[in-house]
Amino acid sequence: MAEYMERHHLVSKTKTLLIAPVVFLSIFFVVPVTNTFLRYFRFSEFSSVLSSQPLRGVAWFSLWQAVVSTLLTLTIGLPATWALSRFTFRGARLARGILVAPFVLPAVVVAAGVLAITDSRGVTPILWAHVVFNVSVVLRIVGPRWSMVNHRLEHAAATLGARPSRTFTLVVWPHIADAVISAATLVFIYCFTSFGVIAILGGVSRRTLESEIFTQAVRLGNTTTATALAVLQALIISLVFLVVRQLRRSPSLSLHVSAPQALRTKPTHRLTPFIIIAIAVAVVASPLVATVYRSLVINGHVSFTAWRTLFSGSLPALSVSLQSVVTTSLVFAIAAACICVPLALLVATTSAPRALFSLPLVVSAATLGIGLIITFNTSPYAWRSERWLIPVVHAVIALPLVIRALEPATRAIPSSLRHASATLGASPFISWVRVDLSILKPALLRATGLSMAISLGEFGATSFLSRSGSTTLPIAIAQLLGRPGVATQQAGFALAALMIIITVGVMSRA
Amino acid sequence: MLKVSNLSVVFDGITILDKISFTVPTGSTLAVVGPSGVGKSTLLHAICGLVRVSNGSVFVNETDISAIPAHKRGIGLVSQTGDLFPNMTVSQNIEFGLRIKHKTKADRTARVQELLEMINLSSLAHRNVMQLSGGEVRRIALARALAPEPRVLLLDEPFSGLDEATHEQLSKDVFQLLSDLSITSIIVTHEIIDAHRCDEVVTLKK
Repeated sequence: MAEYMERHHLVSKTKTLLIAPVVFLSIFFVVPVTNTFLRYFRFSEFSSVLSSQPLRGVAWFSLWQAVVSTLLTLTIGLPATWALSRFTFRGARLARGILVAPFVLPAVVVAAGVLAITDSRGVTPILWAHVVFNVSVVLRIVGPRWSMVNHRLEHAAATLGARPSRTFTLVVWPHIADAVISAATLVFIYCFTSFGVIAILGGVSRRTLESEIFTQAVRLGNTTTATALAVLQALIISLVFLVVRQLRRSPSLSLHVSAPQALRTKPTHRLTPFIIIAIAVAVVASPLVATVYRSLVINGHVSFTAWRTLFSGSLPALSVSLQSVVTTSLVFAIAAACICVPLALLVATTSAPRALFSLPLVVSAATLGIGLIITFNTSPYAWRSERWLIPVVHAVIALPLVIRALEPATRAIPSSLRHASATLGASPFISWVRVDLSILKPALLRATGLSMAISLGEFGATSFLSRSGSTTLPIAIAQLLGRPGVATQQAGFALAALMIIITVGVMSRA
Repeated sequence: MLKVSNLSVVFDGITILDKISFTVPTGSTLAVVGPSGVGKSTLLHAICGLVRVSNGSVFVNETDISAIPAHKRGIGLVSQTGDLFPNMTVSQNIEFGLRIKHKTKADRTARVQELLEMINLSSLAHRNVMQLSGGEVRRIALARALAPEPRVLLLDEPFSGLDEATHEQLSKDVFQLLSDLSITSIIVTHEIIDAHRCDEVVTLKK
């Protein structure tokens, strides 16, 4: 009877908790995206896109560069994750901070860093930028899972004669496979829908579906073609999700959190984790260091001109000041977090299916941008030029990831604590505030940081909605780097370097 | 025969083990006793090759195995908690070491059956290990360690955390098994009665 009552209560509670997130997502995602497809999708145009050699080439490039980027990211990221989650050693914390920092940086900043080193655009810089940006995804998703693999199981395997590679295959992999597949899926989607990196490093010849959607919709006014491309993109991503679902295993049974082993106690190959981390840090940190370098050096001479210009309050060739850009970005980030985190918490507290809330991952930011422009174009919903719409869009984009960040924490709260609270006189609401929220504080802080990071770095949808009074840091950086002139470009690097210094210093401590 | 010679383990200037030396004749059982935190488990891990040794050597049948990695030493370990692989059944756990040695399926099946009969748990062959009792976990862990026929067997408090009746029965069964197999073994234990069942006793002191 008690079990039935609890289940009934949970079902009612679920419906109530989901009202706000469902309404929010419906208004600011489902309606705009559906509107776009209903107004502009034509089968004839879709067929034209599929039969167009150049556009097929864009789709093919989007696909293969995403696959290669994902494989390269896993090649660098998985060994680094192993080293950092299984061992403690001097410098591990700094290395982890460096490797996760790019995730909280805008893609355009990372791209600027790669450009600072390669001084050229094309496939290799694109792949490099994708690796730099996404190693942190592998660390953040696979790391916690790997640290839960009891290292005594590996010891047991060793005493039974298994060499390290067999131990990994037979003992470790079953526990981390799901996390690796999740991380790989996310990395693939980020790379497949890459916009900021392509905008900086793609040059004339390299475009992804995402950047082509923007070009067709905004520069050429071909919304029909843009919509057809968006449908193609969504179909490919949906196919990926379907394939990944087949690969999913049942969840790992081990819930033991295994403390990292002090590296000095490792009996053999103690240098291996160091070498692995050094390589990963070199790959990830060098573009960031190069950005700072390019902001300070012109034609081989040190020059503080760009930095002086920045801190004088003006951004050359743009009609906004640095203070305005930074303030706008921070305000949007805080607003986005204030919207996203409570909604994500409501969803994470329920056991409702996640399909609806995963949709923003399937549909590209550019497609969402188009939808917002055409949907909120007429009274009484003429919101497309409203500043508040930008943080709302950021919240939509961040929602799936913030839900995923909160879920492990919400699910880990044992119901026995709520039962105890109830027997001590606390109502369900008081129990939730006094018991659940206090346990969830660290997770909520991390979720807030994640939401703010996504908002600070968002470029795709913001490109559609940004006006002169709502220029964000990524938009300003992309505009400066995209314009001719040494001074303008150096200012772009300086702004990117400023963002790196602030972000690495503040966000990586989270 | 197992010989430990001047074995020392030092981490960050802290001496965990200091020049430990002893010999365990072939087929005999040595009990290692001592207060908590004195380094008993570290001693077993050092013999296995699972922790770095600062000084000293380990010999098995006159061969110095100090530089040999853990998976090649042929030394079995039964840990305090059993450490059964949660993603495998009882049979799959026991045959793990045999798969590593590329034994045929027929050989593996026969050996697993033999060991399950030795530990009186034949009915649990296909059971999920998460459903086992504490005593059953220890027996399966022992069977798993014995399957690849190790030259030396190390048992780290194999009877701890069990109720008195289970402890007594398991202890009798394990010592009988070790005697029947004539396997060189070291048992870390807090229990005097278990220490007295061994051929020799070594006390570690702080």
